[in-house]
Amino acid sequence: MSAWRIFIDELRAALSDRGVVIVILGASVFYALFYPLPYQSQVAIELPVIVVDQDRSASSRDLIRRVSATEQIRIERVISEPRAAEARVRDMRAAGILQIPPDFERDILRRQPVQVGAYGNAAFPVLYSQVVTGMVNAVQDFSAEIVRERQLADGRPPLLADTLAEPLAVDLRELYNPDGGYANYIVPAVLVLILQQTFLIGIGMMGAGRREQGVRAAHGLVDLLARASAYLLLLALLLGFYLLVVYEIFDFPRFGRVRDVYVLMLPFFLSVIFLGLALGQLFRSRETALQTMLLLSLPAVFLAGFAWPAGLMPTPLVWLGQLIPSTSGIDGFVRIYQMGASLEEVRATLIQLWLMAGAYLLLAWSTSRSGEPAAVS
Amino acid sequence: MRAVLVREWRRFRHTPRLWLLVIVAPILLPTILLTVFAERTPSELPIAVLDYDNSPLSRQIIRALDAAPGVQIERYRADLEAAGSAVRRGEVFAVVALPPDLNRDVLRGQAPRVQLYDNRQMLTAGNVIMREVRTAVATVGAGIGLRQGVFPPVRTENHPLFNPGLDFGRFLALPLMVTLLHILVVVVTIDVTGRELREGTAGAWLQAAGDRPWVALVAKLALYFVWFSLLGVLALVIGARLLGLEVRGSAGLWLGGWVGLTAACIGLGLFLTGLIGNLRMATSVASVIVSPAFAYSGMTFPAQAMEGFAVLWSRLLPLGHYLNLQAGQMVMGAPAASGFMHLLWLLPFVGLPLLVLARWRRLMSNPDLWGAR
Repeated sequence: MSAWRIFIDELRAALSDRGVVIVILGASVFYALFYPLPYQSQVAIELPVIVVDQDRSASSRDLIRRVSATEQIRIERVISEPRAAEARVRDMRAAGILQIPPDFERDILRRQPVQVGAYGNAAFPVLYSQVVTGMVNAVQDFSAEIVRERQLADGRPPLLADTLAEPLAVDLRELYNPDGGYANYIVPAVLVLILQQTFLIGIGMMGAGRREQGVRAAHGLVDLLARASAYLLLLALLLGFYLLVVYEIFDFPRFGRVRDVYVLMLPFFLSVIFLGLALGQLFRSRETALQTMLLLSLPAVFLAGFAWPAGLMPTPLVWLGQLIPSTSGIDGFVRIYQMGASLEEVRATLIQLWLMAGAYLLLAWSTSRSGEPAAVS
Repeated sequence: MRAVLVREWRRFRHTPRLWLLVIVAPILLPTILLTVFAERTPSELPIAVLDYDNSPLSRQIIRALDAAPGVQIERYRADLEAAGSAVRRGEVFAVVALPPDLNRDVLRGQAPRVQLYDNRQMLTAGNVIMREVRTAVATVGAGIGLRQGVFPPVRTENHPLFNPGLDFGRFLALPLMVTLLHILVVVVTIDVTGRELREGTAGAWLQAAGDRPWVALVAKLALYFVWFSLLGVLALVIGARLLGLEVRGSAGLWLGGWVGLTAACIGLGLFLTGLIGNLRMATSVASVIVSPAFAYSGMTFPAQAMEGFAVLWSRLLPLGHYLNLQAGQMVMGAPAASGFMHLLWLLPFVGLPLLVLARWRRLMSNPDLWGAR
C-alpha cells in the first residue's frame, strides 16, 4: 500500500471513529476555551480589607483613603478592635488587615518612626501578594508626602522628598507578561498540554480499538510515518486554531513568530504521536487510554517545571519529566511565543525534541513489530 | 448485598487494571506530587546582574542579593542585550541592572533607581525574585538613609497570616494530592459500573443484588468507598506530616471532609454512568468536570477574582468545597461552622444517583443497552 493511501486511511479511520473525534477535536477545542475562564480577570483586584484604626485621627483617615484608592484593595470596614479582624480573614470575608497603631498621628508629628501592620491571608499566595502590595504602595506614598511637608516646614527644597523617603528604589520592568496576569502565565502552557493529552488518548484509543478488533495497522517504518502524518495534520490545524482564535478571544500577549512556533512544535507533535502509537500497543481496551491520561495530566503539569521551577525538584523527577514531551514542548513554546526567543535561543530544546521524536519512533516501530507485547486489560 | 460484595471482590482480584487503578496509582501518583514539592519555597533562583557602576555601593547591593535565599547570582553580563538573551534562553529568570553613577547619585540625594527586569511569564519564580530584590535593595537603602540621618516616617511591617514562611509548595502539594485522588475515585466508580454494561455482565450483577438496582450500586461501590476513604485519610495525614503542616482547626472535619468528598465523587460517577450508559462517554464527560476542577477551586487563582460563569462553576464543584474546607481547617484555623457549610455542599452529590435510579434499572435489565463502546 502506498504511503499516501495509508495516510488517507488513517485520517479517515480516526475521523470516522466517534470516540476518537470527540477527544482529539471536541476536547482539544472545548478545553482550550474552558480552561482559561477562571483566570480571565488575570489579576485579583478590589480585595476586601479590614482596617483596624486605633488612632482615629486625620492622618489615619488620610492613609485609609490612600489604601482604598489602590486598585488591589477595597476597604471592607473600619473597626477599632483588632480581635474581630483576624476572624473575618479566617472565614474568608476579608483578604487582609491594615493595622494603624494608637498614637499614629502623634508619633508622626513628633517625627518618630511609625510602623503600620500589613496583614494578608498567606494561605492563598495570590491574595497575600496583592493585598500587601496595595498597602505597601499606599504607605510609601503617604510616607513621601510627610517628608515633603517636613522639608517645606524646614524651609528646604521639597524636591528631595522622594529621595529621603526612599534613598534607593527598585524600578520593576515586567517582561512578557504585563501586570503579572495569571491567565497569561498558566494558559499558554496548558494549551500545549491539552494537545498532548488529547492526542495521546485519541491515538491510544485507535491502537486499542484495532487490537480489540484483531486488526493490525501497517507498521513498517514508512507506514508509521504515513500514519503519523495524519495526526500531524490535525495537530497543525488545531495549533493554528489556538494561535488565531483562542489567543484572540482571551487576548493573551505574544512576542514571538508563528513560523518559529511551528518549527518548534513539529518535533513536539511527532514525539507525542509516536509515543501515542507506542502506548496504543499497551492498552487492551479503548477506555484505558482515556483513564490513564486523565490521571497523568496533573503530574505532567507539575513535572513540566513551569508552575514550579524544575531546579527545585529532586533529580530523578527532573529526568522523569524529561521523558514527557510536554516538558520540553511547553518550555520551548512559552519561550518562543510568549517571550519572543529566537530559534537559536531555544536550540537545545529543539534538539532534545528531535531526539525524543526519534526515540519514540523507534519505540513505536519496535513495539508494533513484536506482535503481542505485555498488555494491560 | 453479600452476593454482590463477593462477586465484586472476585472481579477485582482477577482484573490487573483495577489493581493498577485502585492500589498502585493512588500510592504512586501522590508520592510523585509530594516529592515535586519537597522544597517548600523556591530558592536559589538564577538571576543575572549588570553592574554599570562598579562602586562600593553597587558591590554592597550585589552582596545583599547574594545573601538573599530566594535568588542566586548566576552570572554578570556585559550588556542588557546579552542578559536579555540569557532570560530568553531560560538560563536566568531576571536581570538586575545597577545604573552608572549609582553611588554618586545616592550621595547627592538624587534617588537613583535599580532596574529589575523580571520574567513575569514565569510568575511563581518572578514573584519570589521581585520580593527578594526589593527587600535586598530596601535594606541597603535604609542603611544609607540612617547614615544620612533620614528614615521613612511610616513603614509597613508585613505579616503573612497562617503561613509565616510564605511556603507555597506545601500549600499546593496537599490540594493537588486530593485533586488526583478525587479524579481516581470518579474514574474507578465509572469503570467498575460502566464495564458491566460494556461487557454485558450487568444482568448477572442485578441478579446477584436480588433484582434491586440500588443494592447493586451500593454493594458494588461499598468496598471502594471504604478503601478510598481510608487511603485518603492516611495519605492526608502522612502528607501533612511530611510537609510539616499542623492542623489549626478541626482534624475531624478535615478528614471527615475527605470521606464526604469520596462519597460525592462516587455519587457523581454513578450519576454520569447511569445518565450516559456508556463507559467511554461517561469517562469523557467526567473528565470535563474533574480535570479542570483544580483551576476552578480557587487554590491558585482566588475564587474572589473570578468572573461570570467561572464563579458559578467554582461554587458548584465538590472539589472546590473540600479544598476550601481543608484550607480553612488545616491552615487557617477557620471556625467549624464554615467547614460544615462546605461539607453540606457535598451532600447533594451523594444523592445524585437517585435521579437516575430508574434508568439504572433499565440499563441493568435491558441487554439492548449493553456493549456500547
